[in-house]
Amino acid sequence: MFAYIGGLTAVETFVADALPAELANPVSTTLLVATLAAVAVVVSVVWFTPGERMREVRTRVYAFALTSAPVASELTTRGSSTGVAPVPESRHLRPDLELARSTRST
Amino acid sequence: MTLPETFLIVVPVLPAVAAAAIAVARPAGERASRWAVRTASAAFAAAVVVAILVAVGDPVAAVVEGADGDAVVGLHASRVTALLGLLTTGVGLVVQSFAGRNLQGDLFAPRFFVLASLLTAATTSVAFAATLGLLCASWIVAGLSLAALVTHRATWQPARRSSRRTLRSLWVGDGALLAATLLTVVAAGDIDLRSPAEGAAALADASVPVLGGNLLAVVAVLLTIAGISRSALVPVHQWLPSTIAAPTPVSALLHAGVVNGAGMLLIRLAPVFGSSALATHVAFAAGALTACYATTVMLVRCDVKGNLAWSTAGQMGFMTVQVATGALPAALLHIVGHGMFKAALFLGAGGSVTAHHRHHQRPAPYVVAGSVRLGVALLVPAAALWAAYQVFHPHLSTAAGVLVTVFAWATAALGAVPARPRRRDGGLGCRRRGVRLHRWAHRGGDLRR
Repeated sequence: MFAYIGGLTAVETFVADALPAELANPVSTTLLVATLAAVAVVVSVVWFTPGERMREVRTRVYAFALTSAPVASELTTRGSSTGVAPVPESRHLRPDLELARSTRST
Repeated sequence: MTLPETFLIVVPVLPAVAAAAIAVARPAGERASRWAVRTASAAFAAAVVVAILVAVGDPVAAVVEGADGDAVVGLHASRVTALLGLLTTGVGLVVQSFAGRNLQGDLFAPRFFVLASLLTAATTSVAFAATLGLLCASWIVAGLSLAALVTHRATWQPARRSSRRTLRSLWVGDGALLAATLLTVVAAGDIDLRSPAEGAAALADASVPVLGGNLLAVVAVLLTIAGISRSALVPVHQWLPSTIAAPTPVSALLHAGVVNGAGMLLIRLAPVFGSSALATHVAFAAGALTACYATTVMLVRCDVKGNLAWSTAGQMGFMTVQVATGALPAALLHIVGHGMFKAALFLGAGGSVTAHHRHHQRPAPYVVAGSVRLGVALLVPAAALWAAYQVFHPHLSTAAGVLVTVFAWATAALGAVPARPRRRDGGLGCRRRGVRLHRWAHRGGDLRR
């Protein structure tokens, strides 16, 4: 906490002359506080409300978050059902290293 | 040309020269690595010298000036740009040193060093550019270098797909920045970034028949779109998680340097960006949505690089919210801190599975009741925050103060919660739950089936 606030004060002092003191039309404090409060309320309701229905909501949120983007392990898992490695690493090795790899006992 | 100007020019030029030399001479992998690392070291040393000169004296500028005294082309180092330059050259040096070992024996290592050096040069130019035109050109070169780096494993289909997606998403922002630059140049001449407030005033006075008197607002919104695209904010956020197909050094370079584009651009052009309420509110909405969404996804991801990629997206969202609320020094601190931290995490990603297992094999230090944990999490950070404010007295606006307080308190509260016993399943529970939920999602949502 001290490092963060101290670091912030140091940066603020350091760049004081190089940055405008404030923006002409920044987002208002009211909108910011309202947004933070809304996020806190939604998270609290979803997280802490008991009951089967909210459990289902939590599971749906979890599933949505988990399935909303490709998983790295799906992309990089070596070997596949066809027996061909999806990552063609051997084509990226120098010939001498490729030879060493192909003759290495497994 | 004075000595400070020479040092300033050397900072982005050296990595560009290294890129050209490696591309032309085509040295073997280890030699290419040595060339790239040595020039990156020299560029970083020059950036340190420039930062010291700027800290103890006046800003340094190496510009070609027009008849009216405005910069036509050149570089400018203020205290803000010196910090950003230190970050970009420092990350470039550390990542390329790491890549020298990580890509040993890789046929395409020289290609990596060409593109990484070019990316470092372009990102450093974005930080130091004295005109909007040079900033725009460097920005586009950085985007193209990044897309090429992502296809390091060019024979691998996911890498090619990821590169295409990255290029498409980045072109949204590049097109917006190009349009903003062209509009500015046509209507009011190029903006001299030594004094962007004067550029904003010139834009406000300029009139373009098609746009009526709203040129400044249009340019501000276009800059915001460019920032949203480069920092992977909603709705163009999917390119960042897709780049996990790239090798680790590319990820580190991307997540610690390039992705900070929104912060770099909007902070450097703060008088233009901040003049439009529409621009600040669009940036705020995109940042807040991304921070919530990406952090939620990050919390459930089990793969190391995916977790880090979504964490970066969330942090960029929060950083953009800081800029939109006018907390510019806090955003600058966030860029530098996040860049260094994320570079360290990505470069250490290879050992994270072992570290995770080692951590979970340790006995739990002590067990405390949930109410005690909650009390400690609420009270200790609040007391520390109050004490820190009393000691340092940061001069924050109200909105910036609220944001900084909530961020500092929430981060410290997470760290202040005493350890509780965890299931020692080595992360398998997370994986099992993920597989189960994947099946559930594909079967229409019934967990009992």
